[in-house]
Amino acid sequence: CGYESNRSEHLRERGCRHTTMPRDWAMRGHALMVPLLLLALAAACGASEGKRTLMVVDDPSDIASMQKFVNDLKSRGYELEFARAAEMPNLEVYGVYHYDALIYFAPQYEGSRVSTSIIEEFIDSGRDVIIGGSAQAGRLMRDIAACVGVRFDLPRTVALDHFHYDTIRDGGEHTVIAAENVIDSKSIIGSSLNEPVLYRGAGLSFDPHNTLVFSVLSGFSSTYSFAPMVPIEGRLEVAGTKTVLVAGLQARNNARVIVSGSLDLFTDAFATGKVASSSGKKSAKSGNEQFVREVSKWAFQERGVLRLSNVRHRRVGEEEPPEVYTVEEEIEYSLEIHELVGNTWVPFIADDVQMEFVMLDPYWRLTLKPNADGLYTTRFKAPDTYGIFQFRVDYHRLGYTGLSDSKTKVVRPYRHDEYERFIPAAFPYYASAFSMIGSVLLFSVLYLFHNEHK
Amino acid sequence: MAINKADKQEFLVRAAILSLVFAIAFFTRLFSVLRFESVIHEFDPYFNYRCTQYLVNEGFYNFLNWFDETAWYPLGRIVGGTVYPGLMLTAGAIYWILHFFNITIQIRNVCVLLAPFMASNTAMVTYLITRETWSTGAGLVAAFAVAIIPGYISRSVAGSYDNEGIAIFALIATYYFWIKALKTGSSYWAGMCALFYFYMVAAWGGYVFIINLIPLHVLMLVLSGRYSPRLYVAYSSFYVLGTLLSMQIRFVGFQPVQSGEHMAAFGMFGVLQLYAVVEWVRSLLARDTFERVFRLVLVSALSVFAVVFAVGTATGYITPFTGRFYSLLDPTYAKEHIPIIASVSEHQPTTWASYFFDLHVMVFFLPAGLYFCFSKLNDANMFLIVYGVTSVYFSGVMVRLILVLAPITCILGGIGFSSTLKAYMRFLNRSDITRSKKESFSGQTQVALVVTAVLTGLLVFFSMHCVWVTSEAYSSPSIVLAANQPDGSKLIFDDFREAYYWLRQNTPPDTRIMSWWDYGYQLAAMANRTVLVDNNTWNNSHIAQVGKAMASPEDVSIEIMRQMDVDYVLVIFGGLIGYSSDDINKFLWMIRIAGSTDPSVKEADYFTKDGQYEVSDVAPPAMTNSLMYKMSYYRFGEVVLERGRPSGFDRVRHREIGVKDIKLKYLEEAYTTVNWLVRLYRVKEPSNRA
Repeated sequence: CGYESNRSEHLRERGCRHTTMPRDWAMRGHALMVPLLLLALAAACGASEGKRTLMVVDDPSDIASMQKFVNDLKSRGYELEFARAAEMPNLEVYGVYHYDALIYFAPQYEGSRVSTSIIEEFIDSGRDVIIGGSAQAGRLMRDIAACVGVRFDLPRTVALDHFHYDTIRDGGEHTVIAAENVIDSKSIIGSSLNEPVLYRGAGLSFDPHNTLVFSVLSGFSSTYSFAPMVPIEGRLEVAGTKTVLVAGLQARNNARVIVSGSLDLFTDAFATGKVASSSGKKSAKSGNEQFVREVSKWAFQERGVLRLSNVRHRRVGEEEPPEVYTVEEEIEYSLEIHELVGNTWVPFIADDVQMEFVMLDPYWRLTLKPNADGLYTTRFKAPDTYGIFQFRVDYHRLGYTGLSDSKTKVVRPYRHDEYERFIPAAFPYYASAFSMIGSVLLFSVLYLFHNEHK
Repeated sequence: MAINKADKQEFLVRAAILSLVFAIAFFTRLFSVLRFESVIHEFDPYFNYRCTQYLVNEGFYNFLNWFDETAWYPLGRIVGGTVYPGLMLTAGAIYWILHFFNITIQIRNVCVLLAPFMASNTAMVTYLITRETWSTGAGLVAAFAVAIIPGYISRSVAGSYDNEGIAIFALIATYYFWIKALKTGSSYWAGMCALFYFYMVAAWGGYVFIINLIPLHVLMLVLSGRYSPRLYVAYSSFYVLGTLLSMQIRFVGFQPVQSGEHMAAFGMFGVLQLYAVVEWVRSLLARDTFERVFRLVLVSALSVFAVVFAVGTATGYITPFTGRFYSLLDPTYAKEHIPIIASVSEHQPTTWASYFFDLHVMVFFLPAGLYFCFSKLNDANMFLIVYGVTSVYFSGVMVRLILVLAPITCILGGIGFSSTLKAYMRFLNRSDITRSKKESFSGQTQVALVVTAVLTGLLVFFSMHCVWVTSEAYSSPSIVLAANQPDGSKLIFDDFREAYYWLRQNTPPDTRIMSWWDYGYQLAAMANRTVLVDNNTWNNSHIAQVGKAMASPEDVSIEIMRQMDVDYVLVIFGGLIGYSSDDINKFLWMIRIAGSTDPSVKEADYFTKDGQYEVSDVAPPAMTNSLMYKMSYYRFGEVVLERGRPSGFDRVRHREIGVKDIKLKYLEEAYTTVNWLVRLYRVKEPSNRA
């Protein structure tokens, strides 16, 4: 299944309209329609290559405040469409998606045009979403975040930090945080980020039952989430380095989601001008522009996309896999992993790809050795145990497409004529049998002819 | 010439009776085919049928090496090495022979009709053995009785394609040749005996009965001073040949020289050799010298045997008795130690009623036959006595062993019946009366007349009872259920096949299905899908895992199901139509078996405070949270069956269920049959976003 969705990911990654739509139609079984539709679409979409992206906001003025982000996306080839949340167009009609990605920047919208199930289905169809909230996030925004395992802290609370706020932009409430705890992943953040990322918005936390969500940007040990300018009473729900500011999630179908508790993170105002943190650190510009660009690259599958292909297994020295393996046979296992860089797949080299040979428990867990072409191979001897085994690969690394593959094969015991016939341990028995035959013959002869000689 | 003519007449009558018996034995077993259809019955026969198909399609050697990957996922099963292949080979041989003569019968029909055919053969061998030990008349009665006795019919109706069907034939044939060998002292008959013993070993695990009974008989003969060279030749040739032959069956392997169950035969072999030597020495030596030698030999032989046995047991070369064997000797053993054996209904102790139900008047003629055997004691009769007494005991331990008792009941019953009848018939024969001086007392003829009439009446009742039992109790295929409606018509519940065919047609071929082991063979044969456990209950811990999955709450079960790659779960639910052998009623055994390997599953948690097994609102949380409860009663709370009954009323337990709004988290209902008898659940994929 991992392989399958990965492949479709690859199709979609090429970003062309006519690869996406026929797939949906084919899934619905309209086999005849496909060629016709393909022709029609090819004519309609023409040279259009971009990834259709819908940006949903509360207020059109928000778009104007994020020109850098918007222009950056456009320059990267995205076909952006804008809509107010109250007028949001349908993402999908009869199973056909009109958009490949969604930027949902409408924290305060509460109407009926948008629902959690629309967003859920969009993600479950393998498409990517960036969600931007704020401290004033409404019920709907909270619910949408909850369905990807992210919780906004209680209403009227804001992420605060009295030691790391930006003295230039802050209005005295210490809510503009110059955050520096960025996730350590090349795939998500790209090359290192040296400037602090300015953040003003809600403090986030994770749903403890969700194992897929992770923090992209989090607070300092002094960061917490509470109403500003109010003395703290009782226990803090969200505090310290566990205060999540920007969260990421890669679903099992490899759709990617970014949830930011702040919309200001994406604005031009936060992306330009000097930064002076109350901790004393000063920098000529904020890291926001770079952060937002890199994170959106990851979210929209421009980076960290892997492809697993050519998973093969066979007896050593043979080409095709056999019907069944026999115990103690030498087996060769290989696969290829490629990474999408720009528009081309290049070999992906890592030293931590493992395969398992499993029946209830792994009998082998081997690290695969890559060559320069991204071909990983290993050899092993099937255990002296028969059963239904699986060749299993589960390669899940932060920021990369999850790769899983499992192939089921039978390992059977020896046939009755495959055992070694002349084993040394049997020689005494052979000797015994033949000597017995000889003695009986001798005895019979002696017994029968004994009297005659007398 | 007159005598010759009488002989000819008698031969004709005998042949006519025997051919009628042959036909009756066959036809009386066809009720199920007429009532339902030509279909394989129950559980184990489905596996045998599947094996036979494989054998016929793939040939003998592939069958021998067959590794079945659809059973016991993911362990698999080496079928060739873990079956008694006699049944499949017999059916296969009949199929090949018929096809050689261009009689293109389907393999299914061969399988369905094999057991009745073998029953006819059993009747013939029973005739032979009784004639050999007693008389032709007794043989005819015994053959007739064994042809229709319900205790044997229960395992040999058409469609009951199981090992027992051919094993009883092999058993009686072995005994026939044993008696023949003993009487003649010829190693030819002993060889025949060994051959049929080999067939028996190939057919059924019950061969252990033979290899213990014959030594016991030999022991009895030796102890009662009936040792003879004939006995020596017969037993020695039988034991050596039989043991060598039995070791050719892969499933048996080296057991005949290693397992405790076969040691009695081995020991008896040794004792017999010693005895022969001692006899020979005795004939050569003076009395007092002999006694000294004898004591020396006896002590040294005993100590050597004890040392060998002790060393063998300690090193593990001689395996101890298996659980099934222990439970034979001590009826309470299984209940305490091996829940998986105790859980099978046919391993329960027999009730008095089932003796009468299965054997009818033969129960009363069995002691009579024993009496006659004692009154005219000889080597062969002694065998019948030993066989009769031991099998009466064993049948009391396990209800299924009534099957072994049935033939000897018929033989002894036949002897008893025919001897009694003969004693009185004398007085009814005019020519005889005139010849025998006179009646011992007046009215003896009338008494004889009454007794003869009563005996004949009993035989008539016997046959009526047998036919009635066969038609009512033993001809249900259990794969299709039938119920009588108030207007007398039959209502057929075909839910099992409905569910199996649904699986066959709606799921990918490599789908893995979890169910309780009872349904494993049927699933494999009819749905053609992979199962986790089946009726070949060889791996207790694997079954316990499934039991645990069924007995635990969903959160625990899903871990087990994911580990085992389960795609679908199948449960049998009888609450809607009142089918009492459903999974909720078997549930206690699942808990017990799960608890036997995993102490975290405690049987006591599933009982109410006052120790009741309940599904109503007093059921404990462990019960209502268990996967089995949830799957059985999912959506059942919405169902109202009868006016005046609350919704969710279980017709088997006669309770309103305790939890009506059941929610499933990791499973979803995939299919439920018309009468809710079979319910299928699909295991959901893990959530995409969590």
